Amino acid sequence: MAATPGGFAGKALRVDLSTGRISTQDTIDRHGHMLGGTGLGYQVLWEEVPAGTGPFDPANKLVFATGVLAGTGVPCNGRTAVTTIFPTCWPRPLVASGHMGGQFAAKLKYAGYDALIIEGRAERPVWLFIRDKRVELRDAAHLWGAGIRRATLEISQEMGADCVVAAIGQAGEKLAPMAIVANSLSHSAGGVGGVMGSKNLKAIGVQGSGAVRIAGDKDEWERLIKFHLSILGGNNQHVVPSFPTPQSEYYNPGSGLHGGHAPGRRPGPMVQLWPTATRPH
Amino acid sequence: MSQGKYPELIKLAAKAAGMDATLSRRGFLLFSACALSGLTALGLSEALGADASLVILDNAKGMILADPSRCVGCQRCELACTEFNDGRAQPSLARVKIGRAMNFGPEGPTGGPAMQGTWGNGLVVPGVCRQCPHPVPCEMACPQDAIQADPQTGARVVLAESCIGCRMCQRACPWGMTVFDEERHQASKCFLCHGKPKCVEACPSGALRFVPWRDITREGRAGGATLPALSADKAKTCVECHPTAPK
Repeated sequence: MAATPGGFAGKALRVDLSTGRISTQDTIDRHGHMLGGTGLGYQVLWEEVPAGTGPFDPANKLVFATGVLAGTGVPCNGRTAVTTIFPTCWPRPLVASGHMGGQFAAKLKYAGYDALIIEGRAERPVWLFIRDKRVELRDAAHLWGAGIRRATLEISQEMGADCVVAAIGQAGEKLAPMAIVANSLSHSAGGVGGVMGSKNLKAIGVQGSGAVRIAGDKDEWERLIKFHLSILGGNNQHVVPSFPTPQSEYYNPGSGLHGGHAPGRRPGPMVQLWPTATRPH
Repeated sequence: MSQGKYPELIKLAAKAAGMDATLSRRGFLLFSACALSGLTALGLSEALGADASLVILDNAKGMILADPSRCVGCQRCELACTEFNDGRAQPSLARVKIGRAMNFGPEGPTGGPAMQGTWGNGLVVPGVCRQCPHPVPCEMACPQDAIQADPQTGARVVLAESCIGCRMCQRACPWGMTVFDEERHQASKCFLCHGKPKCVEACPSGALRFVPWRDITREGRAGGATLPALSADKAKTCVECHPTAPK
């Protein structure tokens, strides 16, 4: 893989379901000035989709986009922003952005893409296969009518156990306004399932063997992440009590989890490190 | 009686010379003294000698032990391994493996009732390098002697200056723990981070531990076996033998 600046994977993948054409564009050239997957998504909708387009029209576009930190070890990253004309807005459909967690954003980055732009409408149900540079539209007749989990299981059997699948279920297929697209077992973006269904796109399966590069010094990066984690602690501002109370979370040291701890305890890994780091006792 | 350094090899040499039936003590010592040259003549010099190919590695001093019942599948270990060592986040290059068994377990998406992983019974089985004792599969497969024991930790490490990217070590590892760095076109594997494994530091649940290398067939968590069902009466009697109550 050629070297790229840190953070961005470098390419935005564009798939036209009407013609089957698959192309890529340089992320930084086109979208480098926008911040985050939401910014990128809104930019595409603003520039490419005319006002008045309906959510289920082929002219509507569906943008799955990530941020620069997605795929790295920085805490609290990794969501995918799904931007499109939402069928759920009232009194008229408007551009909005749903977010989903899971591993989709990271996997898309490892495959080499910062964003995925879906255009047009397929004639028959299809699903999108992405494995690094190899991108294909595959027949989804055997998946249409299946729920999200069954579709994901089937695609995993085809692609491999480590793939991440963003799929719609029966609700999305039938253009239900609040239908979701979900990935990684339970991470959903609300409202956009119907848009995917209107395009006859059942699922997107992603595998990636690439990297998200860290532009800075890797030791400084390590210190930064550890510092960030020490602030985060158990994500509770260090006020988790060490005994059960009706109004609070409760942290039991016996759980073995570190990072969630009562006041006064410093976070630290629960591991058996050797006294001198290289010799057994 | 001293039998020299390599009694088996000496007997082998004697047998090859037709002397095994009549090998006297004197004959044995003779062979022992000439072990190197004798074995060279028999084509066994590959096992010994300064210029011979590397075969035997001393045991590692430590290894990473993974506890699947604690792994939550956060993949921080995979990211720490590559970000902090290679300056890039690349789980395909990680020398500890979570992603490949995280969803469906080591058997893959079978969908059956015994399926592991987050889609099955919740058990995520991490892949770790066992730092195998002799014969070390990856090291034995390497035609360039590019896999050797690190002097500090005994970890089996791929020497970047020697690796030619033939991938034989990848084919040899029974655990699938050798990774291939496409950018450098070289193999890589767990090298225990010079004694302070970054994956162990990064694991939030204590699923990864850095332990002295030893036979781990009886190694396990201090808690021991978990019981899927425990009658109340029997539970009361546990403390008679286990003074610290089970958690």
